[in-house]
Amino acid sequence: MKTSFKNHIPSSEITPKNVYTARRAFMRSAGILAGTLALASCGVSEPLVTAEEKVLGDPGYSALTDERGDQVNQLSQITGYNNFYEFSTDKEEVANLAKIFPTTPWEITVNGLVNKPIKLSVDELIKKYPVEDHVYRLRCVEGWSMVIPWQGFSLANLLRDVEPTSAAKFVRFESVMDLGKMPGLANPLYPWPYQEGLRMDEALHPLTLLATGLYGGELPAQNGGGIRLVVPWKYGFKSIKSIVRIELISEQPATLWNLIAPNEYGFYANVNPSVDHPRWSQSTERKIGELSRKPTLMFNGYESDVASLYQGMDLKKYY
Amino acid sequence: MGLGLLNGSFGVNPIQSVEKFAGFTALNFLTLTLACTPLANLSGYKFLVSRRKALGNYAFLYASIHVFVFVFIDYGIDLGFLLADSLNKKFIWLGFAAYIMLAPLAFTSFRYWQVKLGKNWKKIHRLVYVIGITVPFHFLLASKGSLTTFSGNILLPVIYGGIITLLLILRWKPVKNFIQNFKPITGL
Repeated sequence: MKTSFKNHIPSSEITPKNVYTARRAFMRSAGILAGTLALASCGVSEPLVTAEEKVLGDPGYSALTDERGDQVNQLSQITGYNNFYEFSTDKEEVANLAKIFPTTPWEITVNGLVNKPIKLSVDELIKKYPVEDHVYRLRCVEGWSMVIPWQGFSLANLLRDVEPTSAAKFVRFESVMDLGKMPGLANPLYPWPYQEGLRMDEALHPLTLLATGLYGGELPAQNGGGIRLVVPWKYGFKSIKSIVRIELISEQPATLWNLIAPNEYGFYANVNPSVDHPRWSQSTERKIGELSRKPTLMFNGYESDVASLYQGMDLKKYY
Repeated sequence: MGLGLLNGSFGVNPIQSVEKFAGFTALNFLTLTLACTPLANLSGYKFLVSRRKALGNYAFLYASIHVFVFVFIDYGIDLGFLLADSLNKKFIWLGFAAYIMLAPLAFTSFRYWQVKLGKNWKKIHRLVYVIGITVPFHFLLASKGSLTTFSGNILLPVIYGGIITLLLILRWKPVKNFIQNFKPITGL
């Protein structure tokens, strides 16, 4: 297997964690000092760590590029333009609504057709499976795209440890349903919970990531914190956010968008410029921040890594 | 709106935001245009009828911005991209048809044409009923949802379709007569 997807980020380009955490601590104390001076007369106290501060990330990441040379999007674009209907159908309203959504501590259950079902917190997962930087292109089915520096680990590492039985053929993922903090869940026109699925070989592919961080910072709630899936050769809706449960099963699972409009959203949902969608262009895309459109690449540019998974399949039928 | 583009109030994906905003505004003006006559009949406020022309022209103005941004900015007049992405999409055909029907109505909305076309003017301008039916379908198919499963983001197009249908029913002679006969009793 080729390893072109591995994004070896020169360590010189990234601020070491101890440096930027120290910098943040300094900024925080400076901020508190300034805040104390400004607010001393009003008697207002501020929380020490705000939600925004948690997701600050490391500005050094903004200089990174993917393996094709495309620069990563700005953090404000990545955290300010989110399809996360559990919060809102308005992509630019999600970040605001997600501010009160707690992403730590976060627990995830892995069970189903496995020998060793587990329940772990994201903190425990990060200790067990060291996270690495991965700069991936994200292509939304709506015809826009971004380049995003994730931190995470291969789903395959986790799946091997739970020991799937031979009957396990598919992996089903389920998002959190926090009725109190996710106003979009009250919309009866969506068959909640958000659920997604992968074929076993897709789930075990080294490109398939469980992401726990973004831009070197925590994974913000609007981007799917505590933990999310990232499958870069598929349309964005496959990369399910805020996962609470991973289940190994024998049959192809139902998926939310496929339940809504089966003619539009297939189970596979591989990025494919030659398979059209009744609404959006799949042959071209606009990278967020760019003025003009550009051609969409087969498997979102990961063709040499993943095409072998679909050998002999009619991709027009299995869209 | 131009100012909004400059100061970033159209957000992270400004081209799409402007397309959506202009299209939605055009639909609102179209709905208001179609509301004038039935509301004037119901309420007796005859001045509403004289507002149709201005509202209809505003609908055309925003529809023009909607189409202009789509063709010239979103696709940057790249005909290859535009045709490849459009020809097989029903919602683009519907939107295009509605705009082609709306344009002559805007151009002939002035007194000069009203006199010159005489009886035909009214016939031509009845096209607005067809446009009123076409546009909600364009909106529905452009929205992320499905009428078949009645799920997804379909509420707004369905509501607008419902309002316009109601406004068209109120123009239907039997309904109009029924309401006229009803008026003396209720004192409307």
